[in-house]
Amino acid sequence: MKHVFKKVLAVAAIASASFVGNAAVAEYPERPITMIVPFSAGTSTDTVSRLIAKVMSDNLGQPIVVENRAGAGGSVGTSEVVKADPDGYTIAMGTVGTLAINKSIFTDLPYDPEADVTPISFVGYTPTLLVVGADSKFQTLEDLVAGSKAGDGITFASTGNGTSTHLAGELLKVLTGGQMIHVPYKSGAVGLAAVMSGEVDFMFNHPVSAKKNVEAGKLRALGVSGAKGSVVAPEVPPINDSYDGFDLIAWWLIHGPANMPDDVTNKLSAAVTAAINAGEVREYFATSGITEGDVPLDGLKGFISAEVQKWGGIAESAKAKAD
Amino acid sequence: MELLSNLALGMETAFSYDALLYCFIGVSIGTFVGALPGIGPMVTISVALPLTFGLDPTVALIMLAGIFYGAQYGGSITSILLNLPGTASTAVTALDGYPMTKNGRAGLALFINAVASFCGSSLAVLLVMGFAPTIADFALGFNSTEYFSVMLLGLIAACTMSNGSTLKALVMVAFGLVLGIVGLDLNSGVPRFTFGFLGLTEGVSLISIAMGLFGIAEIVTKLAESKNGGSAAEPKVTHVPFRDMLPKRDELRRLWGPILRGTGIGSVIGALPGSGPTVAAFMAYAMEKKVSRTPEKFGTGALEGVAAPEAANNASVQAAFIPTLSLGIPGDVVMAILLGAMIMHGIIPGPQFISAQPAMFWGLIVSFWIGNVMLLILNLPLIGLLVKIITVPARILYPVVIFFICIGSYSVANNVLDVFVTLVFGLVGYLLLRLNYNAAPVLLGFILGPMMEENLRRSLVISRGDLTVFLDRPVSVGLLLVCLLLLLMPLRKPLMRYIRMAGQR
Repeated sequence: MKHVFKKVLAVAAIASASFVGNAAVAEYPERPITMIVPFSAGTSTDTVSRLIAKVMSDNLGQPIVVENRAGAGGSVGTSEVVKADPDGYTIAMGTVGTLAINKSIFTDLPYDPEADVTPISFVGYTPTLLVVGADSKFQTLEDLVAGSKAGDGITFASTGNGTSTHLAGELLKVLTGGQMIHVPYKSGAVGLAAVMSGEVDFMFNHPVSAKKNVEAGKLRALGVSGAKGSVVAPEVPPINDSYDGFDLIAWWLIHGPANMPDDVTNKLSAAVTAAINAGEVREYFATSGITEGDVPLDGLKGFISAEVQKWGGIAESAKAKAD
Repeated sequence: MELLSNLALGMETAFSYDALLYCFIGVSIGTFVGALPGIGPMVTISVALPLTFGLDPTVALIMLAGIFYGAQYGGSITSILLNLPGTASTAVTALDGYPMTKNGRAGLALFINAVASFCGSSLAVLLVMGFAPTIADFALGFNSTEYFSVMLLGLIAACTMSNGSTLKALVMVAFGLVLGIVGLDLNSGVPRFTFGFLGLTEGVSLISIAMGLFGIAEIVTKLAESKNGGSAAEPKVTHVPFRDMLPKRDELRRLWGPILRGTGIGSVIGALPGSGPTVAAFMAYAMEKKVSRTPEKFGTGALEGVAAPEAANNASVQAAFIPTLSLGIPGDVVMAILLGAMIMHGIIPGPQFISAQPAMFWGLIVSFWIGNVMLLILNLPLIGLLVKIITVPARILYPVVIFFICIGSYSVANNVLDVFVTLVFGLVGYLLLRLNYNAAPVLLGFILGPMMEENLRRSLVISRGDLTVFLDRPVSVGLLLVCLLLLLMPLRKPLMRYIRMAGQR
């Protein structure tokens, strides 16, 4: 207990010293780092962030404080980070939503994910599973598409207007030419329940929770959104095999405000990489179907631009606009 | 017999030294943060989450869950003593709990709170034990049409809640409905009434409204009263002998009905993902008032008005574990955080969770019981001490309370705007009090409005705009009929009189 108190004192002393000025970069980090999570506690992004932050702070020798700043599809928290000093003491967990989709969905997004951000490290990605209820009449993706072209068409659940799960459904609609009606839900969990009960025909969902219910016979998985398939559900065929051009993944990328000094970025990036390779994170990734990031630091800007382009195209064809 | 062996397994887990210790820590923290106005279980659990990384997953969950249901106990304490709800779900308890305090029966109110909470929780835990998968399937059978009908029922019941003018209650419900519109529209993604504030895109925070309308407004009223030369209504209890805390025999008999009905309502509402303890408490209160032979006593310190909502909100919190544990579907944010905690520990709840992790499931369930007994033991002796809060001088108590309310409203979303919103609602609440409006229906309108809209529009999107969808499903039809009945009830007496007069003629 006593040495904990000493540590706290030391942190306080260093923090106040750095306030006086002369924050020599060589000693970075010399005070606690804030990691802003632009989604609420309990979301998958929050879970990933807290785990990574914990392991990173062990490596960096400074606490990383996780702060949830949810709102407007992650725009609230992200715009907070891009306004912060680019000194490496305020970083954020970016997602496919905050760094790619939002740019084409929100007409007055207060930041530009391509210009206002310094990418630090690609944490990981996961494809989503297309699931239907166990009692659904659709046994295969072909059945589903055929069903969407008959009568009133079919419905799909999403986690909200302009989210990746919504746009995935829209892309399927565009590629297959079927009639698929969007039904937004407040959370993925509630949407999944609606698919289970048969209220809605299908949904794209993160593989973890979907997979457990597939195994228990409450859901059926008809396809994977990523062209490479899913590590937790290798038996499910990628939708891309039937409809070329369907390759969507949800991803997490740690970033800071624009113009961060290179040495700080490199140090943080190395810390993230070390965290991803730590045993507990590897274990968590394996159970949740997350594949570790495979884009190097110098390729991240290009990756973000490519994703902005890709989702922008889908949003354009789906005419999904939020404000 | 399988149940017995499962229970034995659960006890083995839950009675281990670590489990007991962390269960106690959890419920103690829960009671404490529950009692602090504005600071709720959500923030506490997300802060405590990283601290549990080193623990055995079962023990970690036992502690985190303890914080959650412990907070329901604590939240009512300040509702009863100071008319300051510690959590939104205990705002209903203040309706009759605070008048009891004013009548000098604070000890009894706290006693009823503890006992009703205990009974509600324990009975709901029994349901979780025996029927979790069945109840989960039942809850899955609720489509948006049924959700809409339940919410409509709740809203209509709300209008009958407050005493005095039904018109005033209606105005308050409407005010709540309007507040509920603020934020991004789920269907179109269009922001409504956000006035350009990004911080309002998620809507006005429930904590801000509850803490403003009840907490700040109460304090402003007290200050205004003392300025006008003292407060006649100030409760003057300094010492509560144990005898005064216990209900009299006839009072005890009156409590069983409300507790059982409250538990029933709480268990059903709690098992439905997305509804939560606040709705459960309101519905239980409205129901009690409907079935009571002395509805006029509600709002003036009726024992039933404390027992029913307390049993309901605690039962709903326990029942909320059903969809979370047996389907992996969290009903609200707190459950989502608990689910996140399980996933971080490498355990993914789903339909096979109970059979795949029996030690964890049954250990957790048994720990709920242990935790509730601990809460009872923790709370009863504290009553004598707690009522002394009333005697703390206003100049010390109120600044402290306002301090916590500000921290609490900020901590929900780490948003400074929410603090100002709370203060604005404090002023609104003060005006409402002066004009003799009861603010409780605002909360219900605020919670139910968006859910009703969401489910109405969803039903219609799925049915391609066909309104008869509400009459296609038996549960929905039944609920709508009850709504109709409630609406026609006030017409019954004049109608009877008319018939009688017509007969005489």
